[in-house]
Amino acid sequence: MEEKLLEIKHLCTEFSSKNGTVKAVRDVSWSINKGEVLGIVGESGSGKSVSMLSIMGLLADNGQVTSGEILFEGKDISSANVHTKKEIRAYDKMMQGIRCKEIGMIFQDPMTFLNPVLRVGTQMVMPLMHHFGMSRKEAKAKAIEMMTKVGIPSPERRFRQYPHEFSGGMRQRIIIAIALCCNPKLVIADEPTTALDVTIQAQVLDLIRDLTSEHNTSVIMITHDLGVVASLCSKIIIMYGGKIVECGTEREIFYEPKHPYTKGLLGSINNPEDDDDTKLQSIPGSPPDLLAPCPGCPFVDRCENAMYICREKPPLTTVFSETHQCNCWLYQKKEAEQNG
Amino acid sequence: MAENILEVNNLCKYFDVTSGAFAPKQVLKAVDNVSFSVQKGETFGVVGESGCGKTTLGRTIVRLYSPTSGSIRFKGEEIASVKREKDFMKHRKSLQMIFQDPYASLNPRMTVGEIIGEPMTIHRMYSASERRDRVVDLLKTVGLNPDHISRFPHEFSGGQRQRIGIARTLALDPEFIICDEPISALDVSIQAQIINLLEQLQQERGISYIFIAHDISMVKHISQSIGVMYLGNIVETGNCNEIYHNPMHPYTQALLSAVPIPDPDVAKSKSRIHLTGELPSPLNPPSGCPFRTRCPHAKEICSECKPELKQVGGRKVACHLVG
Amino acid sequence: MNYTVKATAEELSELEALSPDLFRKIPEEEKNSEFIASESTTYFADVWRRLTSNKLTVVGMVILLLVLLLAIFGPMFSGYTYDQQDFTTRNAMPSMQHIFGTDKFGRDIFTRVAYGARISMTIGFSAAAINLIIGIIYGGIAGYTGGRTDLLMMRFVDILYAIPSTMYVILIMVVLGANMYSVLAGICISSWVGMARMVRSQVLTLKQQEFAMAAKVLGASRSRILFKHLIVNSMGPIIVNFTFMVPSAIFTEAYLSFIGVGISAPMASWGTLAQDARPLLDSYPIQMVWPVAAICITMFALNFVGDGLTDALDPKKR
Repeated sequence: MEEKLLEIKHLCTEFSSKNGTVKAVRDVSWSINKGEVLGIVGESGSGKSVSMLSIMGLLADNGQVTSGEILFEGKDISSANVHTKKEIRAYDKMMQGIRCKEIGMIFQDPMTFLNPVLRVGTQMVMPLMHHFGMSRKEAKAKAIEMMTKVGIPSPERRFRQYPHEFSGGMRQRIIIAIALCCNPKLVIADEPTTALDVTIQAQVLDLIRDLTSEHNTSVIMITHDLGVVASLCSKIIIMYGGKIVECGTEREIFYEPKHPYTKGLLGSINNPEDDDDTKLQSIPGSPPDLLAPCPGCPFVDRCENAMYICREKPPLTTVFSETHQCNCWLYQKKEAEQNG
Repeated sequence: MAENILEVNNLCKYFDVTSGAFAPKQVLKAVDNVSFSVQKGETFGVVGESGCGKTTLGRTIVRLYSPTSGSIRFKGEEIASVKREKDFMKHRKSLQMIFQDPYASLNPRMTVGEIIGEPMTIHRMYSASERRDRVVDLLKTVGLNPDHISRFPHEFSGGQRQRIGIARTLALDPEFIICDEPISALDVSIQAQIINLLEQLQQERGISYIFIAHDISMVKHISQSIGVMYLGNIVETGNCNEIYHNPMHPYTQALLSAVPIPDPDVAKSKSRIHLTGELPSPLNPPSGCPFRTRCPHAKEICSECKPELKQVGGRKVACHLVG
Repeated sequence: MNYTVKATAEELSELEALSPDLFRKIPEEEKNSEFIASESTTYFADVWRRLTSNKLTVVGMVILLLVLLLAIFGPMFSGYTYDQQDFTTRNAMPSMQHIFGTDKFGRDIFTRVAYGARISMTIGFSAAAINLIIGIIYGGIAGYTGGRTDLLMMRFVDILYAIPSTMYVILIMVVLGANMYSVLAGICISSWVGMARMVRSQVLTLKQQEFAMAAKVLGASRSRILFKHLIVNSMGPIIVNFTFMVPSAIFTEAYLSFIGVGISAPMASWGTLAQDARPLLDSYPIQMVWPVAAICITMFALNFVGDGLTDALDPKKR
């Protein structure tokens, strides 16, 4: 039995807005083992980033984890029951010890993560001094070692420069260096390559893979690009409209997709290896409006196999293998017919 | 042989850049000596990393920027030398553009109906009631609900906004559309929708496209021929499939090897060519071949003189080591 | 195919109870995949909603309305005119006949304050309106044209701004005589500069936006792009600037009248009323209180409205 590093149980996150409550994450459960690379795939508004921010306790002021457990090495770090000022203070203190030290984060836009008026070096040594009580000198040596590792030329000189003096790819390397310098057990990468060019994207992905496998670090890779997860992840979760629609190993997802959304997603990307320019299978329509989600499956209005039941009730989970599960009424249709 | 609707020859667009009031003027060669042609009813793809000048190229063709030198022939007429906006007006209707950012390309204070109707108002086409009917038709064409005609752009999702932008372009019945990274800001499932819509419009109306993108897999799907740009220059151009399967220029090879393949078995077996270093500053490009600083095969000759595009088989390549 | 459904016995029995009807396919035309849940609101309806949700702003708007009513109807109902002298009741304390009392010539102070409100409000709003129009056109043209034109236009503005406005007023007074129009002209001649600078910077950023480029590609004329696309989108900051310009013009007028270069007697503005009361400050301080209170309350009200508008129009606070 492999050891579970992080386990999410029935997580729900909501945002209040002027038009009502947006249910961004609805009853999501999954887990990641030590040393595993998990990919969470979904479009914007599918709740993939929000679930990560819920884990890290970094939700915006109008967001709130309403229920669910987040177990990191068996300890609940969810903010679902944090309400009073005292509880909030205690929670913040606990999270400060976890962020960066235990769980590192790599963000989509490196420019907003780095403070533009502080030298890159200063920002790198801060977590080291804070979490490990290193002296400035030790921290600097460690930071420069990390910069060399992530492939930044002449790190001694770069250490003294400001973020705007770095190119996009170089900044993302700095972020990776910061995320990994405390040797965290888990790294959450939220669309780390979306803002980058393909050539740089390939470099950054290789870098993340090499550095994390070195220390057996677990990685959660959040992306909307199936091409990114194909080369990197061993386990994939597909999210849509705040819910998990399918999860499985990378082979199960790519070669035996079950959910109509997964199938549609795979059909709508062009594999450049194929030369026949047949029409792409696009998914019609637009993502659902989470202000008024239907009680059933969020994909119902865009699904070609949609049934009336899909609108009424959320589908039960169908298990295809130990790793492969899918939430869709299509597979319960027969069940109901057999029994009924 | 189909006729060329657009011919671009030795097009250059330089910008003067001053970094301070007293600093010497520098010249940024955003587009440098670019030549290609687009056949009627076909799609020409332009690929390259950000900062390679592909967006400037598109904007220069629709005269958002005036070209520094070179010629652009549209339907046989020279349009690069047209000086006054008034004289260019007759081409505006047939030469259109779709923009990259669906959140920035629609005026947030106008309703969808006003946005799509605006080009017809500007060109005084149709009567007011006919315009409204056409707006409804156009909304249906791009797959949007005509009931949403009086809503504002911020109420729509990214993909819906991009379709509104396409509908606005179509209001003028253009013959040629420059698509400036129309899908790079969209989700994957929505990208396919937009691509299919563009292809369908091409078949129905015979529109020609220039499709600008940094993602070669989508460009390959929609285009017949492509041009690969690097630091303002086209380094390789020709038939799309030929280039994909047998790239000759070292930059094209590197670019292709970096493309993520949505197939775990292929992706894991694929070897990558790693480019070292970063894109050089276009203000201070390397001497000789622009790619030599990152090229794994660079030789002495590459730093001495700049390679010209030369015919190799069915395509053109700008490299000293090829052909 | 080989699979199992993960469910409790309860859920399974529930599953069995479902009618097969529910497992019919939904026809394409019943699907609503372009559904938008939020209600359609126009920009200004949204701004109004947020404006009225701010209590201080509502208080400010109510006070402003009262002052306007006072300015329009006050002099009519007081039973006196602003220059009607009555030497039998000089320097009277507030009473039923004269609710604010009378001044050293026996004129009713309430009527004079209400009349002063007319002049102050007229000057405030006309100055702001004139500044608005000049500022938008000047700033818009400078920002949109750019280059050398922009440089020349903005340097001219700098020169204009470098000379103190008191100087303009005094010079204009010499030419046009001391009346409301010369005060208005004096205030306007340099205070549109702020508006012009603001509009210019807005236009400079907005013209780089893709929707402005799209309009150009569609063939829109320069004036159409400038007014329909760029100015319309800078309306937020422009309105905010406008609301802060009104109190500043009122204040400038009061200040000019107070130092004696504004409206001349027997006409009354809040500034001249304060000036008239100044020599009597020791013996009849109450006469000073009314005009000063009027100025303060109006300033507060206008600034509350301005602050509320700043918040309501700020796109980041949506």
